[in-house]
Amino acid sequence: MPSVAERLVKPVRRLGRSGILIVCGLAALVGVRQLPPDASLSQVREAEVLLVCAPPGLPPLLTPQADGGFAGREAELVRAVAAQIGVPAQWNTQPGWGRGADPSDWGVRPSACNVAAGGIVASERTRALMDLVVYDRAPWALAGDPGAETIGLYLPFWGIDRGTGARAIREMGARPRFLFEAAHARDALQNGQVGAILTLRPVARWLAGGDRRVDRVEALPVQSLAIATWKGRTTLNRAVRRAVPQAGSAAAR
Amino acid sequence: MIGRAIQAVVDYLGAVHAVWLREVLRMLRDSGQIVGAFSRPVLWVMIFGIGLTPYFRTGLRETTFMVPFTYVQFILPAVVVLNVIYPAVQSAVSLIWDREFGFVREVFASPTPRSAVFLGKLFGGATIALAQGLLVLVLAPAANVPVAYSTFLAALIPMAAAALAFTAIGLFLAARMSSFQGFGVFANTLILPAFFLASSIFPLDPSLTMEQALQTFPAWLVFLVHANPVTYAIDELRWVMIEYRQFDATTARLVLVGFVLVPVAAAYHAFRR
Repeated sequence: MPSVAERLVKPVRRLGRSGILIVCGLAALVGVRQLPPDASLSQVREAEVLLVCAPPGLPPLLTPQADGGFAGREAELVRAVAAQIGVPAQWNTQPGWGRGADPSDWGVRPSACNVAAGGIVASERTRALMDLVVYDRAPWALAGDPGAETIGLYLPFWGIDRGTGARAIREMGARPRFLFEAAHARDALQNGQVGAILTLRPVARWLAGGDRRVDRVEALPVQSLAIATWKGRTTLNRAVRRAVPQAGSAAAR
Repeated sequence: MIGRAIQAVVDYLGAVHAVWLREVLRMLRDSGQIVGAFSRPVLWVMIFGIGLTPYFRTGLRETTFMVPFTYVQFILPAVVVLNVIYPAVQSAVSLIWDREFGFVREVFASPTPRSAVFLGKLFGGATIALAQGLLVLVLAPAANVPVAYSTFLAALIPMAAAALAFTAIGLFLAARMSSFQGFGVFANTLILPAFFLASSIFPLDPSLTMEQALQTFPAWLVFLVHANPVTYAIDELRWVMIEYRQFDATTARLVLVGFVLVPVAAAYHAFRR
């Protein structure tokens, strides 16, 4: 009774030199695919710092701190990525990020950082620029009174379609009002300038502050929040993937 | 009556299988083909693809157009098709050998139907080509292209189409040629333009309309890329592997069906003569 090893070796031996060539060829392919396709990760290690582009603030995902750093869920993820690589994270706040509808005007450049974090939503637009590592799913939500006449639209997210939000507000029979800063949006809701604010659920909960209702908007598609590396920086992106837990569905529930 | 018909079918399939097996074993014993099968993916994906990727990096206001892939991801499906095309065409060399050494005469003098010999050669060449195309997928992780089982199965369709079409083209050429040298020259003259003119290694800007594309690229180049059936095989494979396509899906699938049927019919016609 031939052993399993003998059964495997037999056809290879029958092929002789070709069998050896096929085995060597497969081993070579598996071997070369382990080669790093770029130097992005080794450059971060050499620089001994992970540069992170971020907007001036996006609570509760990135809440600015007095020391110039950030707290919040995305800040924790970035620190986990830096720890995975073995270097500290250094924030490179981009003052123009989020100002205006066109990201081309925000002044964020690949040369400014290794990783980008701050409300990046997986979409055709962001995928064209960056390799995304999705960490959570976030449905649209309404913070405040769903029957309000004026509903604020606060979307400090990169890659989200503002037109979709504005249309949804009109379909609710309300008048949309665009809001661009977190503190301003929260104030507008607190002092009644808007009856409610449409945004993604993590931000809606922060805006509601515990004393207002938050309702999921089922009619709009659930979005995916991501940490990003610039396109082509594959080895760094793999390090981010290793550090960032894959999309949990907690926010979507 | 029915028993005889069944026996005829079994005999026919047996003849197809015998010729198919002969083709496959011939390839497995050809060191040159094996070395080529493994070296092409390494050359195109690991050296050419990774080497050029930095020049296609995207950034805001830094690129002509933005696309959701890296360069190495863009060319990976094209390299799969290239690794299918080469062995598919080269497998037809066996027909010239067989004619040269009298095997064809002996087989054609036997009761074996010519169509069975033709199908055996066609499927044999296509099997070898498909297997070599699959080798490229081993390098998919290097290009950051995840290949799930569903992706793998879906990828087999455009790969099989290219394999059958080019094996048939190879058989058509081999049936009409008597020298190995002539076949080799014809094969290379066919393979390289078919590959390079298939939106394989340079992308036609997908965001441009036809009118804009004609302003950006020379009209003859745009025309040849659109007229080349290999373009659509690569486009289908690109859709399966990186969820990106440049051309209309229905057009691509119709072209692929025609791309298989026409060469197979032409090759069978040439083979019977």
